[in-house]
Amino acid sequence: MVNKNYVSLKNYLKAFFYFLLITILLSFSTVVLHELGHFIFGLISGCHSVKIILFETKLMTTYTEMECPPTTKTTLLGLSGMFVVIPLVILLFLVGKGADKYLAIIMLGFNLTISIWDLEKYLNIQNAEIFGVVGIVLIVLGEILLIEKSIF
Amino acid sequence: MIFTHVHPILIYITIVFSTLVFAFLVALKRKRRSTNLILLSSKVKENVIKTIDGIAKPFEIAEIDEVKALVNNYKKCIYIVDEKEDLKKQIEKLKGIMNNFGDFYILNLNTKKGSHLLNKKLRGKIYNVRKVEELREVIPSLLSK
Repeated sequence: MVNKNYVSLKNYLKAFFYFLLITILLSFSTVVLHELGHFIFGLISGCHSVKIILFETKLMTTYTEMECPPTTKTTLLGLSGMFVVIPLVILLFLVGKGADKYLAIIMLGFNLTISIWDLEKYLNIQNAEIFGVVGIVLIVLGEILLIEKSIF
Repeated sequence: MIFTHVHPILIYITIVFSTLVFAFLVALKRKRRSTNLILLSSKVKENVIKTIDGIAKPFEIAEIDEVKALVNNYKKCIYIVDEKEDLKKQIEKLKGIMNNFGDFYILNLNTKKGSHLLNKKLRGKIYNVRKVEELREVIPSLLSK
């Protein structure tokens, strides 16, 4: 890790790339856990052909696809992206020590940011972008606290 | 039925990267406001500084050429003049950075002639130190001021 007493550009760059790696891994795992929430709830709700697409060139994003009976509650399905992430965030926040709590804040931020489309389409929330803004604020806050706690 | 997040991968990567850059700079700035800096122009004295005991407040060590490339916003700075390097060159380097610190102290290991030149050219408080070993006593007292 970074030498706490000796300042140099090299040390700061090292620290920056270390955190970049952590953030990329955390954001990617949050996306997967978010889609897992849709996947599990889709199976429980009786949907079929449920699949998580990690990446494809048409939508250029990660998503969950399924065919559901007309009686399925789409509101709950839309919310289900949070069903895996939120309990994990709460657990991490309650059980975690020190920097773990800040990882939970970043995870919550990423989850809110990636939920905009679901909230808008399946929960009919107007101005769902506000959740995205709140998410980004949480990501930045969590990262600042994590960086201060871990290396400085 | 498709459940997805609204951002295509490139926008998502941009969000991840830009939030981290912003957070990193804010954390750096916040930390420096409460930290003191000991500036060196030679690696020779680095060992002396690192063995100093009894400094209550946090401090960091940097070489003068590296500081130019960083955001300068430290609370207090102590610069140790290097007797082996040309004094005029050191003064020129210091002029470019010293206004970025709240308090600026100069520890002079040079001759009386050097002290006169430093007084004439720089606004910082200048302390004359006869031996490198004396730094161990002077630095903690300056940092605790």
